[in-house]
Amino acid sequence: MSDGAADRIAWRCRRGMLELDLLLGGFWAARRATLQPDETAAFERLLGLSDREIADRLQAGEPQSDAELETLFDCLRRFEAQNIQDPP
Amino acid sequence: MNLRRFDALIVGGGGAGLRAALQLARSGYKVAVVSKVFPTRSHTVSAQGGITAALGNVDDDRWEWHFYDTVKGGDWLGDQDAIEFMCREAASAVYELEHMGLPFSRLAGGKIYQRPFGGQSKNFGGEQATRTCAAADRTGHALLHTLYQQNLAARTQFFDEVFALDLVRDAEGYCLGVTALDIETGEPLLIEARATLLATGGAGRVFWNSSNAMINTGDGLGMVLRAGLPLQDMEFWQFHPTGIAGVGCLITEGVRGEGGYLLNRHGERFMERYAPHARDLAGRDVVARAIAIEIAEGRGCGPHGDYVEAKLDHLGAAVIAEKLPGIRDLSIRFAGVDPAKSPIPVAPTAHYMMGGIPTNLHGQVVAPARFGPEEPVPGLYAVGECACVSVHGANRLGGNSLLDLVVFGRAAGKHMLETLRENPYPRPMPADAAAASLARLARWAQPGSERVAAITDALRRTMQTHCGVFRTEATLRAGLAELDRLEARLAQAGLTDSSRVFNTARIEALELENLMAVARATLVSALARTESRGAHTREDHPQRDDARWLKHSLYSRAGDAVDAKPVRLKPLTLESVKPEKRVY
Ligand SMILES: Cc1cc2nc3c(=O)[nH]c(=O)nc-3n(C[C@H](O)[C@H](O)[C@H](O)COP(=O)(O)OP(=O)(O)OC[C@H]3O[C@@H](n4cnc5c(N)ncnc54)[C@H](O)[C@@H]3O)c2cc1C
Repeated sequence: MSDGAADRIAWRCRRGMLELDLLLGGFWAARRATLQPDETAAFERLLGLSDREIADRLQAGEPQSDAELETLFDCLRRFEAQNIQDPP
Repeated sequence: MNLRRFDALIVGGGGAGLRAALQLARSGYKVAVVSKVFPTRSHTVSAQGGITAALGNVDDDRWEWHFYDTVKGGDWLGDQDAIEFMCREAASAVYELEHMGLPFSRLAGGKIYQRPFGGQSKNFGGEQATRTCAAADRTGHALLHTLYQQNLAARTQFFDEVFALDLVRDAEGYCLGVTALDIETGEPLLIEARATLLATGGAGRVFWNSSNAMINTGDGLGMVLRAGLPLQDMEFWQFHPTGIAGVGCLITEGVRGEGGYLLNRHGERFMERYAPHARDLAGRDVVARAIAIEIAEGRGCGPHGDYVEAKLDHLGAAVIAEKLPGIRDLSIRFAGVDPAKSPIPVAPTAHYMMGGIPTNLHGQVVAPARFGPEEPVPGLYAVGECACVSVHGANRLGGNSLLDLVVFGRAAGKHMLETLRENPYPRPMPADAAAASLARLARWAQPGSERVAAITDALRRTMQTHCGVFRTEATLRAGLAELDRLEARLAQAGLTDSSRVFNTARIEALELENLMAVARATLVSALARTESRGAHTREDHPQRDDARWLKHSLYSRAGDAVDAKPVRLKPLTLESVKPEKRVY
């Protein structure tokens, strides 16, 4: 992935809610080098959702029709459990 | 350079900007909204608690009581004409949102749901009132999305991911638009308009502990200072009492409105000592100071004694799930506790900027000039958290910010229509309109020995340490000395990434310049005000001093000067509320 594309994703992790800034920005910074192209594409799709939608789906954990997105939400939940509940 | 021309330009796609834009677009004018993120990702989206208006749906209420509470809440620093205007217009502004389709929660009879918030009273200081209208705990999100849809329908033109750099003014001081940077392409732009409104939101990221999203970097304030215009009341920052300890994310006051309360390490409901009457629902500054004192005096909870606890398990899982679902989720995710079972660890977090760009009731930016202390800057408006109209005075009441956005967004939109009618043709653009902005961009194309992120972190820690809930002359002077050092480092800073496309490092550098300007305005104004009022607590000057300080401060960048202008104590039609001791 070009630096421009990675930076575009980084900018789109800037959200209206601090908690999503922390989660999405933290996730991208930590995982950008290791995500597979299809996972990166799913992450960009996820960033296209509204803040509330992302927060609700993180919370609800209801299965969605988009399996890739659902895997990513699981991944975010795990990342959050490891990183944010125990802030530095 | 790429030039775009519109009738009106709105910088900022949050609630304030979108409400003003709608007024203009519906009147058939060509309106552009510029936003550094997609508008629906503006910070307004995070407002949880609601929007205040004396609808009286739950209990008796009158807008005059709301007026009184707002004057008192602001510790008499708010302008009473502006406060009357806001409280009087509140009901119509909320019904207008309802008609636009904002999905408010409903009471059993179908009326808009309202909840009690701190500082709200009946009968001018009597029993608790129930005045804040809510769409569950996502009122800001509902408001922003409603206004965005309305703007799309009205054909407002959006420039998403475009970063405004500087105001463009001509020799006579008219504002002719802004310079901007397209974040995606890295291209500079000149956006010209006959009326320009700043609605760039707050600057809470200037503090280490903050409830604000990363985008709140005070860009509009930096633009105004660089244009040689002053900022008002910048010493007044609201520290929200209940941020999740160590993270900053907000636990809304709605939690206490629904019956939650605060406990110290001894399990004591300590607010009873500080505010015997209103207890946990006293003004935010009162509760934040109480928590800071409990922590400082060793009654904080946890291994480091650095937080207190917000208890709400007694409300029951059903009420929490129904009324405060977002809060439950937030505390599970960020504090690791389910509030239906255990209390949430909380500490004060920088939340809201009461000061900002001085404006009149029409949203026109005003500044001292030849004929008086408050002359409108032609063609320039400001609304929302970046502006200071001033309705919040020295301390904002919960739910009054969303109200400020829509009431003054509408008022500014209306006045801008007049400006457009009176000025049907664009004024000539000076040849060097973009020179200063291009020089700033060129400066950030150079490498340097200092890193932007390190300076930003140091700045935020400095503000937290030296300019937090409690201040003294010594802490503020130390803060200014540190800021001088950080500014020297900033001059040596550079970027390793010189690409044009989505160069986020460059945006962060430009944001840091704005944060630095906000920090200096805050420290200098806080040092000048030798009294304690509302959210500004000087330990070395613990009393409010109306004889010397019942006035607004006006900070100018040139020479770090702090000037003053009178508080408007005369409302439009009501009796003035005379200053008295503020007790809850
Ligand atoms: C967690 C939280 C909860 C809150 N809850 C409530 C509540 O319940 N009730 C209440 O009344 N208030 C609440 N507030 C306060 C309220 O949400 C804000 O004061 C208000 O939403 C600010 O709205 P705004 O339109 O002024 O700015 P914002 O919504 O912050 O929008 C600013 C806009 O300006 C744009 N922008 C900024 N800089 C630039 C630039 N350089 N170039 C281009 N665009 C730019 C941004 O992209 C954005 O679109 C809360 C605040 C927080 C932090």
